[in-house]
Amino acid sequence: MVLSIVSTMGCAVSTAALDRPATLLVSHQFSELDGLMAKEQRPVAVFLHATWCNHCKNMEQTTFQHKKVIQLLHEKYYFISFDGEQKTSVNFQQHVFHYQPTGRSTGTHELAIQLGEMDGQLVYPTFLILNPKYEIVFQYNAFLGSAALVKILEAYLK
Amino acid sequence: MKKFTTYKLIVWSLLTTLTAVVYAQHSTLSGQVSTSSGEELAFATIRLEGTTFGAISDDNGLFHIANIPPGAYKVIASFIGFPNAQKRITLQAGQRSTLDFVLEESANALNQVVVTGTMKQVNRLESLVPVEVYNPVFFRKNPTPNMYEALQNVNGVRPQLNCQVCNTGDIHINGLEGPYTMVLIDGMPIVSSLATVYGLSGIPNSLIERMEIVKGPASSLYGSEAIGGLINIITKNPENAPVLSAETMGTTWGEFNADLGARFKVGKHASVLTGINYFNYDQIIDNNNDHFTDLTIQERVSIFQKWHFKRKSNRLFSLAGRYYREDRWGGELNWTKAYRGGNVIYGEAISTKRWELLGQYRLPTTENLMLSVSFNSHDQNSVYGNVPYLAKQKIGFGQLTWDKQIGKHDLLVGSALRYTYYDDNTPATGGGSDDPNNNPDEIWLPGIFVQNEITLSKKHKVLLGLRYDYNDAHGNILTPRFAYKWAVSKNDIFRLNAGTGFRVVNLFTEDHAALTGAREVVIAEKLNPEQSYNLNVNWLKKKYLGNGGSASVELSAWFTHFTNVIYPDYETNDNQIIYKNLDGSAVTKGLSLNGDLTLRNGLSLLLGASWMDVSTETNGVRARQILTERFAGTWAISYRFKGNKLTIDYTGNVYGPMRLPLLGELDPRPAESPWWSIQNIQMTYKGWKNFEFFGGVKNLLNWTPWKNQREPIIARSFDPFDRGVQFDGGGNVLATPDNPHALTFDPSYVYAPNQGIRGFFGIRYAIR
Repeated sequence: MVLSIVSTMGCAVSTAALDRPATLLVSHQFSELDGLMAKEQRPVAVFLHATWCNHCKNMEQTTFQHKKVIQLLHEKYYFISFDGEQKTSVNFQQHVFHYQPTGRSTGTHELAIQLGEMDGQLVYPTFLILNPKYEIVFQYNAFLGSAALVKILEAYLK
Repeated sequence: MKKFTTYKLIVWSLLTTLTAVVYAQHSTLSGQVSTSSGEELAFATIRLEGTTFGAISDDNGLFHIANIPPGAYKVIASFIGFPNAQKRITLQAGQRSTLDFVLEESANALNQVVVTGTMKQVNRLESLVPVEVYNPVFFRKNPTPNMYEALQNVNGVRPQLNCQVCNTGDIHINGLEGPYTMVLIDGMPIVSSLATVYGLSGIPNSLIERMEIVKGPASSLYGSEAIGGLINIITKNPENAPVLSAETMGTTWGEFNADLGARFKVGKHASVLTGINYFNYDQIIDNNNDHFTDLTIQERVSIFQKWHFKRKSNRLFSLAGRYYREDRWGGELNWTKAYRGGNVIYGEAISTKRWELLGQYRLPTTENLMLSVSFNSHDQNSVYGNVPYLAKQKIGFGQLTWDKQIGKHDLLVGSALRYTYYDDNTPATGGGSDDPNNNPDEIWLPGIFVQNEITLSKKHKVLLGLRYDYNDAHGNILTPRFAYKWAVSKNDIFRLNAGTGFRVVNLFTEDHAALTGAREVVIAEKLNPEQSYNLNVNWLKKKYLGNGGSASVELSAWFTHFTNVIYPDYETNDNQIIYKNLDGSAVTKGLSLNGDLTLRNGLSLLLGASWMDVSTETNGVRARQILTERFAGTWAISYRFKGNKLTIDYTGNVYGPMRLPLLGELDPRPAESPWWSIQNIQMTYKGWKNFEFFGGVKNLLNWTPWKNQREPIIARSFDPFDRGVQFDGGGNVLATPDNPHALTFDPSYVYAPNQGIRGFFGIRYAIR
């Protein structure tokens, strides 16, 4: 199983190695989900972010460092941190999603648009929950603090 | 794709298990879900308890449940983060019933922690060079008719007014003039020394995703000229832009601005962004009673279009074009077109036609080869009093780059070719196009560059770049560049950037002061390229507070040393502007400090201060550059009221004294400008449908340069053709009883806009 650390995703510099939080939040990949679901059905929590997005960085360093958030995401969800401008293609649900460039160093990943678009626009950060059938059951495109995120994560589990 | 899109219809699992059993006399239930603050609530779940019937509210909070067997039901509406709401209803056979729900926003529900996702404040990319990211929200804090004026809100960036009468200007970054700054649209360079004057208008704010600004040199990719900085306008992804957007704004001075933006698809593979900008100002106002217009009469239309083609290979292919048409005039109040170019009534009238075409295409090869092209054509038909200036400039640019990642090395190899054509009616190009001596300026500038970005470790990154250009007249030009980034910790970054710069100057297209008719332009010798070396150091510290707050401090220092620079010399002869190679050196150095603080309670603060010293040294004598301040400060303080509907913004600038160009020792005007400040306040309301309303007051302090000065800003504005001026044999002005200060007509003493306090109001509209 390929695991990566949330805070390193999408950053030019691996940030996780610099400071050491109590517990590291582990992020899965979309390609792993089918295998994981076969073992245990869980909702999927997705954090869509971009390297230049300030609130995203903020969430990575505050919300996603919170013990209770990490615990919920580790134990009850499959968590995926996804850089909406990442260049690698993703195979998910028998469909390959690509990065679509719109300029020399700008562009959007198709999967980010599919997952994050609300009201005709994609805004970072977007946090969403997919049920085990990969249907979007919750989308929220603004900063979320740890208390609010815990509330959301617990609310869905009820 | 379609298949996956249907998931977005957000169907709870209970709905998917619905069995479609058809009853003869069934009833339907519909209604709306909203929050206690009156907002329609999308994605709320509505269930009939004890049954499998249910629905999810749509974007307008509306829901509809059909085929319900008659009976009494308990209906529950719920949404994550809100307490459930319940209602009882009895459905009769064949009846359509409605039921609305209001979900209470409880004290600790989600809304309390909302920091609007679109409020992406100033961020700095974690790239090798410090990049400041500004989103449209930032520029809306002090709305302006174009991006050029909007940049006054950015610390270290100053739109400088170069012409008192015609009101044209350029962008100065850290004390360096406009031609040193490169303007790009989605990374496609507009290669033109006039880019900061004209390249920043026409793209509606609603189509801009963000603006990235690099102060100081960036990389070898952008050529040896861009030592001032880089302004990259990033347009919205066509999938994300509003279908239609409009913005209009007017001021009590009679300025009117309208923007229209649209996006649409052409066929299956092309998406198009279109923007139209119109600006008009036609009021003749003379509050300072100098018999000259305070603000230039202007009419401007600019059309922008960007085509983005989706290729099977998912590689980049985009084209953008812009057309710009502008007419402006300023001068004596009774000027009309009939006086254009004459010596009866003074006026400066400029008619500009400009178009640009930009393209970027990634070649269909496995290697990452990118082709960029850019063309622009600029046609200026103007008169400065009775001096005509007719100029045409055409620039073609092509660049092929190869990106390659090999282990820790991120290589960029490329070649570029630039062609510049310039012709005007002055002796600089041998007279007008009908003159037998006419000899337009043509410059070919081919170049190659190699750049390697090496990731030494997680904390250390280095950039090595080398660029070689060849110029017909000046031969080989080699410009090296070095950059280093050290991530001390994840929120503590140190950067250093050093290298050399090189630029071939074209006076006329850059220095409008050369054209003010009042002074004779003298080109004393063959002008050599401007050459410089520079060093920039930058330190950034960030702190993230929980619940959406953040704070950052950034400190930058820069030093640019010119071994040759072409400065206009106003001082040797009061009646001339002399251009020659610098016999000595010139230095631009400074320090700038940026701080920003965003709090969860809706307050955000942005503060910037820059101290700089721009000077030249000839024969051991150091002189401060005129029209350049030593200190500049900028701020933006915003507060968003609870409910996110109302925002208040207080923005402003403060500038320290500048040395001003005087007409000799007898000139009574102050040699230095005072401290001055322009401050603005604005309220924005966005609580009604797709509309946003904004209004406020600009220049709250009603500060103007003429109010604080007894002597007129424009010397001898009553005698623009110098009829009452007497000269000695050497061309020097004589002091006479009618002209005791030995002045000539001179509008080049300009450092701030003449406009005083004014109100503004505007509306934005967007359909997503």
